[in-house]
Amino acid sequence: MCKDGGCWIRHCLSRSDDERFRCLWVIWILDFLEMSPLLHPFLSHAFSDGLGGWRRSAKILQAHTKFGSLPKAVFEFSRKHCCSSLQHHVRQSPESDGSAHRKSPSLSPWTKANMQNLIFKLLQQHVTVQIWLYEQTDYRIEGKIRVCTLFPTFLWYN
Amino acid sequence: MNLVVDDAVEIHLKKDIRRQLGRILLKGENVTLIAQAEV
Repeated sequence: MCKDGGCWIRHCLSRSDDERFRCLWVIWILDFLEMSPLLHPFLSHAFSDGLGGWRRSAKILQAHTKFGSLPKAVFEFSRKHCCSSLQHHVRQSPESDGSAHRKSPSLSPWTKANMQNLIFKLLQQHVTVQIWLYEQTDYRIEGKIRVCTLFPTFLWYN
Repeated sequence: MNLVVDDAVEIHLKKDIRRQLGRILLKGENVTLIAQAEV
């Protein structure tokens, strides 16, 4: 599915449950950017063009949205339901690098609920997941989530 | 959001090498994206 991010994003357009499930992850990530400096790696994953720098990434994102490569549905969905992070950052590229310390506003309740549901689903069903790493584009981790600090009370034993 | 991952495999995308890691604790700051793995 996600050999390159563009292809992954294209998956989000399709209608099957599984794909919509992945689409939610994109939305979650878009929201999550607000509280951690993840946008740059995400974008370089997403469009795999290797361009550096927050500003260029934002421009790419803008361009992709304009020309419709980034699914409009995803963009508008996130704009509606998440905390306007994307809009804000695209409109006024920050002076400093994107990875500078940012305020961490809370996620919208809608996103929070979805994020928890999705992670819980992954946890409970012992789905094999692939985890993309921060600034390590060559490596991915694959495995089954056993414990997650989001749900510290849940522990599974064999 | 730290994760404990069972049967973890480290995948090198370019060389297509899979290294078995077993059970690991992955610190939350390393996570960019979580997606269901391709079967």
